[in-house]
Amino acid sequence: MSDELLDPPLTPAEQAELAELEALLEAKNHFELSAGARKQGLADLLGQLERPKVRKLSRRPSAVVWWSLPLAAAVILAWLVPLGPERAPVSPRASALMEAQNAHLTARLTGAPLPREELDRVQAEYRHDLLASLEADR
Amino acid sequence: MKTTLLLLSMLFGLCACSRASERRAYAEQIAEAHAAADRASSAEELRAAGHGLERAFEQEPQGKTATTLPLRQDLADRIARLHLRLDEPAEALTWARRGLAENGDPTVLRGGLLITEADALEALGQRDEARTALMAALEINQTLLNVELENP
Repeated sequence: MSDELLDPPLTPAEQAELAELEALLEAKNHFELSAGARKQGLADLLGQLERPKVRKLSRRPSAVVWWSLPLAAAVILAWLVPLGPERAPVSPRASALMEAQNAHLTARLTGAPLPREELDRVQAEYRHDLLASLEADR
Repeated sequence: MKTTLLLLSMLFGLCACSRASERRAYAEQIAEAHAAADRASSAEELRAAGHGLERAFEQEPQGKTATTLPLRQDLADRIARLHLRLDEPAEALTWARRGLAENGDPTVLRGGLLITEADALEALGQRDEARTALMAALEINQTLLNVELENP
């Protein structure tokens, strides 16, 4: 083996450049994840892609718990706080009475013949409904 | 402990039965008063029926306000209309206004009471006031019909 095949020894300037490069490469490692961490992250992502339902389920309970607390509080509050007078019961006969009243008022204000008997008849039916609902309230 | 619970449940049961019978009696009294008014034809019968309706109106309401309030307004309206048939418009006006005072909400029975009030006012010769009452009734009627059209 001749000395021509061997590299000549590094000059001090070349050694200084190499040392600088080595320092730069070491600094790069500070800004990148390690190979192990990258591998673990990739495995996590692949695992989530393969099991989307499991991921969804694993996150849902915490959301349900946090949203259900104010909801439950609102329901309890609404139950405890009185809401003023009760609304009148809705009856199909109430609609008929409204229409009969409308016909009566229209006739009255326009001077047409008055259908008072019809109004009385429909009001009697509505009364019957009210009495029936009083019985049902028991 | 078990005996106490049993006694308490029996007590609650008795209270519930008592309230149910009170409601039943109240409903029957109203129904009978209206039935008598339906049958009445002579002045004497009309007057007697009016007294029966007045007694029913003066009763302490038994049941939910949502049901008893319109029943009371309906009673007042019926009494007022009986007075109109007896040619007693002043009494009719008083009863129509008692019914209106029961509830200020725009309900179908308030509309009916305003029509009766207008009839009484007209019989008393107060045509302008009668027309105002009719217009108020029409306004309530239109509002209720609009609400029903929007929420069928």
